[in-house]
Amino acid sequence: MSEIWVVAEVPAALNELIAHAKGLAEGEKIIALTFSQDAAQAAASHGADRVLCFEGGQRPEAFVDQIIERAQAARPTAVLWGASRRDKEMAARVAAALDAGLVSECFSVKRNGSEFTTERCVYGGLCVASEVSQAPFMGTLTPKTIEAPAESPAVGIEVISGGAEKCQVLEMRPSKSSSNLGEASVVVCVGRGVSKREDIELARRLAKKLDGEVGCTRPVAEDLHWLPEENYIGISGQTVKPSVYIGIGVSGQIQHISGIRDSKTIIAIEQNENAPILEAADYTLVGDLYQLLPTLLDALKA
Amino acid sequence: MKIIACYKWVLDEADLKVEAQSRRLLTGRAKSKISEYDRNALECGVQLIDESGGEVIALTAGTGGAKSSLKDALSRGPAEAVFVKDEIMAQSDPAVTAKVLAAAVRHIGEYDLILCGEGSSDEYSEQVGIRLAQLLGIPVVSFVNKVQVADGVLRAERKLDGGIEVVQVQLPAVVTVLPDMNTPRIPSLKQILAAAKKPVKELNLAGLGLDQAQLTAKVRRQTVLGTVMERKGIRFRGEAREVVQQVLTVLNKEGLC
Ligand SMILES: Cc1cc2nc3c(=O)[nH]c(=O)nc-3n(C[C@H](O)[C@H](O)[C@H](O)COP(=O)(O)OP(=O)(O)OC[C@H]3O[C@@H](n4cnc5c(N)ncnc54)[C@H](O)[C@@H]3O)c2cc1C
Ligand SMILES: Nc1ncnc2c1ncn2[C@@H]1O[C@H](COP(=O)(O)O)[C@@H](O)[C@H]1O
Repeated sequence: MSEIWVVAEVPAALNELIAHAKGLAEGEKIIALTFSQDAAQAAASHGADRVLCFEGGQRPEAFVDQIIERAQAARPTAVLWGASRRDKEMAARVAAALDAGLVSECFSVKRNGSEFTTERCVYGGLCVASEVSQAPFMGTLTPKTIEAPAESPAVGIEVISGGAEKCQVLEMRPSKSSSNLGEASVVVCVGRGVSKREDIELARRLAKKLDGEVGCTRPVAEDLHWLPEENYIGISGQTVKPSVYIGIGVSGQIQHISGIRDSKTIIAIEQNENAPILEAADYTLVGDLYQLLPTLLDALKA
Repeated sequence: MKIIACYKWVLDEADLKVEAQSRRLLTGRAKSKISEYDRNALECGVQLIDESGGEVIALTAGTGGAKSSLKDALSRGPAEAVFVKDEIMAQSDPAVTAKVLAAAVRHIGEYDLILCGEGSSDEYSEQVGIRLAQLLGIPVVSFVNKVQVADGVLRAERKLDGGIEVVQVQLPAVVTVLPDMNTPRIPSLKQILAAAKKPVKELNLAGLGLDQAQLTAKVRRQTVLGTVMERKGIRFRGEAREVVQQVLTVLNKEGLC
């Protein structure tokens, strides 16, 4: 066991994993497992000691069997995975095959010899669980929990071809939208209290006036499909850290609050004084959003 | 078609509180519920059966307390429930849970499709369903929001970070279900009454042939501490104009107007 592996489908995640691995390594070499030339090159020039590029499969998952075989032979001290959905599937399959533990979405990992201590959110983000695993350690790591390492002289890339699986991919429809919510200084968030799709326009006007972005809760994106998936905020969506967050008709369930915790000021427009958002907010405008929001827009000349 | 739908009985996170001083989690007043997305998994199974015939078996592993879940699960349409009952489940991690469920599935015998939630409401590890497939040696289609089954072939849409992936696979397989797959039914009184008469099979871990080593969690939990957030908690009430005036002062302080 003298290797730490990092595995992720996208280059940005891979580079962050290399940074985590450097912090954890006690003499182990860092081996990057990648699934595209882009990602392989990124890893090769950001501090990996060795880079494997699995190519020719219809998707990264096609190489899970090969990864399992290699892991059984190499017995890495730790395998750090990205946290995309593909990464999560691959990680859980490899962990099951090796009968290894896997800690999901760690935001911190520390090591003391063969002992790895991790922190992750549970109960929708209400609590942080601190957990201990023995090597071989496996975890999926939350993105943006570390700076990517600086560029360094590139190492060579070993190409591994093949890949096979029982699933047949019929079609891949890339999503077009992307979201700037993570960087926004003001976030206006639409909740299910907004009763009609057209009324999102009110939130847009407010966001525009305050130079912010519009986000939403998970049901607004996933059940109602009023805004793209990339726009929902919370434990399973985007994390935002604006100077001002304004929730409109957002009840403030813990899974949503987990994504807005780092906001400097939280403002809510909510009619139900028992809604949990009132405890999570600095200021709540108590009342009907259909009276309060237009009045606010008027006052701001938005 | 025979479908196994896995659900977990969890504490309702809406009832959980954190003690501000100690950051201790207070579970005393919490009720339990069928994990949110497992309701989508149950509903998915029942809808597939409604279309093409067959039956759904609801499968759960938990401590004695999970017994109260059975009627609830059965009122949502499954024909039968299988309950693996053991106090060890209180210390289970995804590795152990998946092994327990795999053993229970083998005990059930024949099946075409296994449905799980994408992640459980309490742990949200997003692992158990995927691990289960690997242990059973069958394909998994994870993070799915649309499914179709015809002639023993499953076609599904996975919602991934980069877009939608449409895949096809020969059954048997495991599918992990996203919440936007469907809207779970609210059981009627009649369905609730009928649930009481449906068969429940109770299994224990010894009976499933699992030994201590297999049942020891790989990940040991040290602490669970509440995340406390210091917020002002100020409420502006009254006439819309007054309320808005107050919030303008706040926005003004932030340099926003
Ligand atoms: C495992 C898991 C993960 C999840 N992840 C996420 C996540 O990442 N992000 C997320 O957002 N959710 C997530 N959820 C869902 C979450 O639990 C809540 O269901 C969701 O956040 C609620 O959305 P909402 O506030 O828009 O809707 P609701 O809870 O329905 O709240 C609407 C609010 O609007 C108020 N309202 C209604 N009309 C008016 C009016 N006219 N004026 C003023 N107020 C009004 C109501 O009083 C209510 O409080 C997750 C759930 C689970 C189980
Ligand atoms: N104890 C359990 N009994 C039955 N199914 C479970 C159990 N734990 C998890 N599952 C299933 O696995 C899914 C993912 O759980 P998790 O990996 O904990 O997020 C859940 O949505 C359930 O479908």
